[in-house]
Amino acid sequence: MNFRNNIFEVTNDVSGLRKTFLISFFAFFSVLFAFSQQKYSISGYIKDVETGETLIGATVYIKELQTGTAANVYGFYSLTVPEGSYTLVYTFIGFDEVTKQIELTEDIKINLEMQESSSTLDEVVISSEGDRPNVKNVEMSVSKLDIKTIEKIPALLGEVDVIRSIQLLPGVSTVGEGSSGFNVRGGAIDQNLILLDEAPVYNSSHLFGFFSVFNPDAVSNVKLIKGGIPSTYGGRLSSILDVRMKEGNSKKFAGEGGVGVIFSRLALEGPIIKNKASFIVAARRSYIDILAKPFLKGDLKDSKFYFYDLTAKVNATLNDNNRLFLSGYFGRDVFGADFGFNWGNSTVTLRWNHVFNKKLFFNATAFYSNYDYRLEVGDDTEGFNWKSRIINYSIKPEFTWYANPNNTVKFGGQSLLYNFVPGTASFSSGGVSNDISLPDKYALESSVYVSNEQKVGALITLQYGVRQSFYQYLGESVIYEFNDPEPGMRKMVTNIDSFEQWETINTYNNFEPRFSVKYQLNEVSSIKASYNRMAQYIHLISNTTASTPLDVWTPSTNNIKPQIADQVALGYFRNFGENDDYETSVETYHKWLQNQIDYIDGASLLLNPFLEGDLLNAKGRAYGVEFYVKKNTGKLNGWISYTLARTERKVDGINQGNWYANRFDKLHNFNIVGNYDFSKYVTFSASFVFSTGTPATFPTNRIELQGYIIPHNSEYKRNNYRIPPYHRLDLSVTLYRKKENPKNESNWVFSLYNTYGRRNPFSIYFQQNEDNPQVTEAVRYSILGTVVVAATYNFKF
Amino acid sequence: MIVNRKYYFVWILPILLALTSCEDVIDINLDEGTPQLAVDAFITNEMKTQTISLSITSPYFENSASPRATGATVKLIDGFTAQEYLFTDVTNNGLYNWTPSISEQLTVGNIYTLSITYDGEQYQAQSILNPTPPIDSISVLYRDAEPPNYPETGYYASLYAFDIAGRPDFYWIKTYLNGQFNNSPGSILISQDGAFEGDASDGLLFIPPIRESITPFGTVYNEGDSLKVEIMSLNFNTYAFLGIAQSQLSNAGLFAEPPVNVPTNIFNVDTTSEVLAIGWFNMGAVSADGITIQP
Repeated sequence: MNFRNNIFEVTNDVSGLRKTFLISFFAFFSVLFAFSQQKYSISGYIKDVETGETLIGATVYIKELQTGTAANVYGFYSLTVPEGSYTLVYTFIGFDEVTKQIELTEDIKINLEMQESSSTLDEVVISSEGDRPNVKNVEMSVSKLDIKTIEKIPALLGEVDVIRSIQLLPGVSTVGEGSSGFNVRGGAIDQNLILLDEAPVYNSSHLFGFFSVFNPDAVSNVKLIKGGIPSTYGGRLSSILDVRMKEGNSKKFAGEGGVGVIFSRLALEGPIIKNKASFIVAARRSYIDILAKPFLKGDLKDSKFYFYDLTAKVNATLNDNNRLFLSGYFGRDVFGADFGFNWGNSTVTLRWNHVFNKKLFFNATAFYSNYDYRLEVGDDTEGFNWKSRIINYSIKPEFTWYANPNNTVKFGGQSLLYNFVPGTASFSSGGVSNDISLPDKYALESSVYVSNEQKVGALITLQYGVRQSFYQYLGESVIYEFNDPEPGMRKMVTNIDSFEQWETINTYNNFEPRFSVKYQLNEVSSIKASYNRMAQYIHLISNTTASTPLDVWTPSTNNIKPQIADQVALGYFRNFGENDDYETSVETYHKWLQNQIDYIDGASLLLNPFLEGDLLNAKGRAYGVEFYVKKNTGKLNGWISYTLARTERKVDGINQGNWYANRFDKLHNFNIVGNYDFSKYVTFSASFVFSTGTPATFPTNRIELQGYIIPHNSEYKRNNYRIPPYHRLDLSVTLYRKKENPKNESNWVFSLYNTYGRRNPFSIYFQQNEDNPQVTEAVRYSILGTVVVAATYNFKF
Repeated sequence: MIVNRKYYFVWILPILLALTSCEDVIDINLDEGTPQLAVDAFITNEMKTQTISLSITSPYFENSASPRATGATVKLIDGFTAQEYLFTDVTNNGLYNWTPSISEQLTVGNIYTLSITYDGEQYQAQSILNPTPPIDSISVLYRDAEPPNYPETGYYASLYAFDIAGRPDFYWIKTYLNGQFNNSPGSILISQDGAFEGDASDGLLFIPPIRESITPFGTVYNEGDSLKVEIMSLNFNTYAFLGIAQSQLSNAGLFAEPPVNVPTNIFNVDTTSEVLAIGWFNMGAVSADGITIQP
């Protein structure tokens, strides 16, 4: 069959590039071995003395050599330097600096526990030369939010939320309230790899996007990578949202929680064996259904609408060289009255950290991830039931080799088995049932990667790597070949073929080079540039404005090619002020996207065995500039971000084959977040967002047909208008009740969301006037038309 | 999948309770478009006068009837027998009529071509005449208001019919209250195989949401009302056309599909011509039943 001959087509066009890259790659590697002389390693873990939590990204700096490193996501660090006597400086934001004098005459292990600064943030002096990571690190287009920052942002209904917080960062946008997911640098929402302890989460929202699945009480660290994505990550085009869960207090039992308008939370953590093993369990449940019950009548009396989630983790330090982690997330949204509708994610991650030797750190991760939804109406006599799910099984070994202070090499691989269940469904009417299930689909995505972070002299740092991904679309399956009709029309089946279980139907390979460079201009400023190629083998099928829980994921098949993106980015980073009071950056990017999915007009997306016949292959491009100013110190702190960006598509059969604005395109995106620490007891916070309205297709003419007046655009333009701009001001005040033991503090958060009650349009639609159908009108539809007032009580013990 | 409005309402309700979504009419300036010939040709095989309406599209906010397209030559051609039927505009108001004689019954299964010559351009469209199933019965039930599915107290009617087995079928279910076609905006009721999209319900009894939807949501029938129901057969393309029209005419809120133009199956014979027509041509068979609401 012809498509089997196309196996390597995606690879071929980059094979020249690959050769060049590989040669230079091995040239760089030879540097690693060039100067072997007597050197010793300093290695260990960096933790919080109070809780035993890993301090991800804490830095170690050797004063004499002016070199250093940062702890990895498991808190491990390693530095190999010539023998000598050194001053080691350990720093981490919000923690007291630790200085150690050492005589390095052999490999040594320093497991360090750091003390959180007793002073409030505004008094923290960040002066260590090892710090200033935004300027000094090679990584660019990266935003890190610690949970303390997230907690200060005024939140919808007083509930701290990870995803709503990252939407305030440059380059990140959303189509509006109530929409699941987020868009990064002009990418679609399915192009974000959302990882919770390394397991992918397919639907990151509760309650149709008003809240995210991450329980802030269980989150330790959030990192969003928008560009210059290292080769350790792959599988999505536009961003990586890496959420790491807390490990649980290994020193003593502790808890925290909150009571809010919509839901309540409780998290418990503590040692299982002191300093050796600990756990954390965090749960949330909404209760609007319980509150609303007395007001519901008739059919609605049995209404169910709630969500819950449970996040749990245990970890055990077996010995100095071995640690085990087991973490899981289980969440569900349930809606129902005389029907049932529910959806949810579950993930389980098992990890094993092993220190082979002072220079070689190993982590193996195995995970299971499941997203499913069910829709049930009626019963077996009269009704409809439908279940759909996507299941992942994966293993992922990774080595980190701390070769010398100038080179840190990571290499590893991943194998990911997908099982797509697009629909197990049956339809009953008059006592007769029809099974309309679609067959499962299987795919295997594997990859190997290597990357090196290399310091070249004092000024230049490079990070370069490659990722080679291999994808197989596997049986058992019935596959279709389609004809090639006029662009924009439904394709018809021309041939049907079937494949046995685990038989390879189709293969795609992609060579994905990654490269970043930093050039230090002076102590406080640097220039960074990066390039990455990303391949994505799975696709979210959705043609609604906001994504719905019913959207279906599909693998790449003989008809659907993997999505590919190339991105270049250039940035200037500079800090101001004596204590690095201000962090600023300007970044510009350009992204080219291939094989984007679009839909014919009137496409049938759900439970359609011939879905592929309704899909179009689009090209995309996105480009923009991001400005960011962050004030770290003082009573007044916060950030301002402004993004000027475009994201466009081009596809035969839509907009007469011309480029048109993507449905989530926003030219201007402005955010300001400010906190004012009035006193030890009171903090005021405000955030303001402004963004251009999303594009929409508006009619020019009216067609009179069968007594209806149908809107029509006679110029066949797609997205020729903008809905009015979105802007919103949120305010909150936090009142702290300090206790003698700061671990017992509690606070009240009072918040106003959409303070001035702006009716931000979600969409504009056109209709005939109900009273006089001859009159037509434009209607603004707003998800939220008023201010939302809320109070939340948070406590710790 | 087109979600039935009743069920849709329930989904969205929690959000309405928690927050307040709202809608209001706003002023918008629209681009100027190009006036085009609009063809409204839903022909049936019933033995009564058939009408094709030709008009010229006007600006969307032009709140009066569109100008009529007069002086056209309109013909229907049977692709099997090659017989031609001429539609004439005797009143010169853009309504082109043809009344079949006893020998001119149109045939289910045949493909028909519509030919229109207007203002120097010739347009054509094609449609197959698909079969339609008989209506078994219409039942009526008096029930007390039970929101959200039954917001009013009164008579609720249900349509009983079996889908034609073994083939994908597409229907337009039309209701007439006291002789008046219910064309309230957003009430286009279309169905595949007596259900929603997909061939799930092939050969089955029309499913409950379709069955009950002959009582438009938010309304009830009263004693003495005469209700007539028609099932008109469509072809797949007409079903898609009406589906897009339906989503244009009603707003599904948060999960609405962004509006797109309705397609057309009226093509200029001269493919190089820049003058394009829009509108739709469908050949349909009709089954009908009616009742008078009484206790």
